[in-house]
Amino acid sequence: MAADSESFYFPHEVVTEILLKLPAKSLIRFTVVCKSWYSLITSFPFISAHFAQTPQSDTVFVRRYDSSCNREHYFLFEDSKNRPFYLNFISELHSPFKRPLGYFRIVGSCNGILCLSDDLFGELRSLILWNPSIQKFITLPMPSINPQSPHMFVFGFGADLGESDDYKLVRLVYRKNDVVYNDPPEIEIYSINSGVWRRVIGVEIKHCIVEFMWSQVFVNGNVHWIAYDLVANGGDLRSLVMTFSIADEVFGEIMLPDALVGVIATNLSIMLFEESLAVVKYEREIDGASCEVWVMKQYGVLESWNRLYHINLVAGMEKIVGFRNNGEVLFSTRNNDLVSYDPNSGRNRGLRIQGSSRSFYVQNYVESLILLKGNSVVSGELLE
Amino acid sequence: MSSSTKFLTLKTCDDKKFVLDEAIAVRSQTIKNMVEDDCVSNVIPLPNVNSKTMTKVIEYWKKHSEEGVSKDVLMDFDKAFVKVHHSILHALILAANFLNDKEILDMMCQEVADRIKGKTPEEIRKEFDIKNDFTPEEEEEIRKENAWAFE
Repeated sequence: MAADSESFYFPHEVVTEILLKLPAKSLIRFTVVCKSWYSLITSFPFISAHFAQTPQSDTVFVRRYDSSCNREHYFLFEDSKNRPFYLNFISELHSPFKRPLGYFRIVGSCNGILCLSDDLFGELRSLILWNPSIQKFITLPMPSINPQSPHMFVFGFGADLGESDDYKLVRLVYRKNDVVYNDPPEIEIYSINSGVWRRVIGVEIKHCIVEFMWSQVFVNGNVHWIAYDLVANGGDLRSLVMTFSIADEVFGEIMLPDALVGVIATNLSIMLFEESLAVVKYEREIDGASCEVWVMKQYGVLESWNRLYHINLVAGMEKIVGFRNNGEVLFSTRNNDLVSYDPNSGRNRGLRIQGSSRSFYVQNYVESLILLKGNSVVSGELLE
Repeated sequence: MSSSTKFLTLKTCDDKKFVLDEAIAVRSQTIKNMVEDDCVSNVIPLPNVNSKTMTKVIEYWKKHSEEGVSKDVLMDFDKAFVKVHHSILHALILAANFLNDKEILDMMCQEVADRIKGKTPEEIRKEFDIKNDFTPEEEEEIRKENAWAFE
């Protein structure tokens, strides 16, 4: 066969190699080329391989909530290392979902998927997994544990990229006794592959997580929360990092450094610093507020906990929402905007991104084809 | 160590011979396997590669085997190397695939990806000589489902 000089004739494995190097948008467009390309591009092995070789980008995903018009906005910004105190606007993403009460709690993100929970006022109204890079989402069924008595719940979200290639949510439900939570939580787990919530029986967790203020981080195959002992040991409440392994579904704990063990859990917040687990301690004194950033440089190695920064909270700076590629720290402020702070020089500057202080969410943006067979986001239309 | 330098002779499909330092030729996993399995006699036949393509491949191998070449120089070399006509790109990929040279294959596949990423499905079918086996209804449904990617 004489190859037409304008056409490619490649063996199957070469075509796959080429397709793996394409961006998500091109791949989605090319699903209509023919049936075999459709099957290839939408297959799990291809999606995993594509994700594994997608280069890291310097794009960040930012969410803010505008209380004046009761609307949340999702943006992409370029976080260039060479641009101090500046995020370069790229685009606004369609926020596709029925308006939450206020704004969504962003439970976490993993491999390009965001987990959104509409529970700002305690009651869970909807739970969504969203892949903004391909504008797909799935709405999860409501969890099964819903006590009538006062209670609170926390979620953990992460990926099991072993053989099963699954994404899971774990939910811990704590019942209130009088005014405190001192009973072990009930536990249930949802996995995308199974499509249902499943209760976990016979696991007794001896730690509690801070109501409403909780946050979680998924790294190294584990979900992490700041927690404290349910029953005080000799009168002292001990703070710690509680873990949940998404693949094995096992709970565990990581000790905090001595300087943080005795700090009340409400003053601690868990984050990711680069690829490492980080804990921020907030402190309010008469002469001003400050925070400390602690990083566990080597995962699981207690000796590697290290105090990276001590930052005085000036200019209305309130909470750390993220870390920039160039080392600057992003703070939400009392004045409802986002400020970038350089820990080396101590200087800070507003980024002209306005939003309710607690609503800010900043995360590295990752492109992936995961959830490709989910529902499509219809632009300009809010789903009911 | 020049006394221990071994040379291999490669013969392309158009009967051209290339004499090459073995240390360079084993950048091809295929040739490396043949050498290791001791099934190299005098001449290694490359029935799937023509001399024009092999000249390009060897040019790449030699540049990347030079001592003391800076990363920047190599990057510039690679940049220029992939800027070839469609038919050469095509031949180089098939050659790299046959020779099992992951480095060249990766680089050339990336070049194809960069060239096609903005194209329409119709253009892709022509480019890869693919027959559309979807019914118009099926195709329409997938397009509607992902309309944003077709904008």
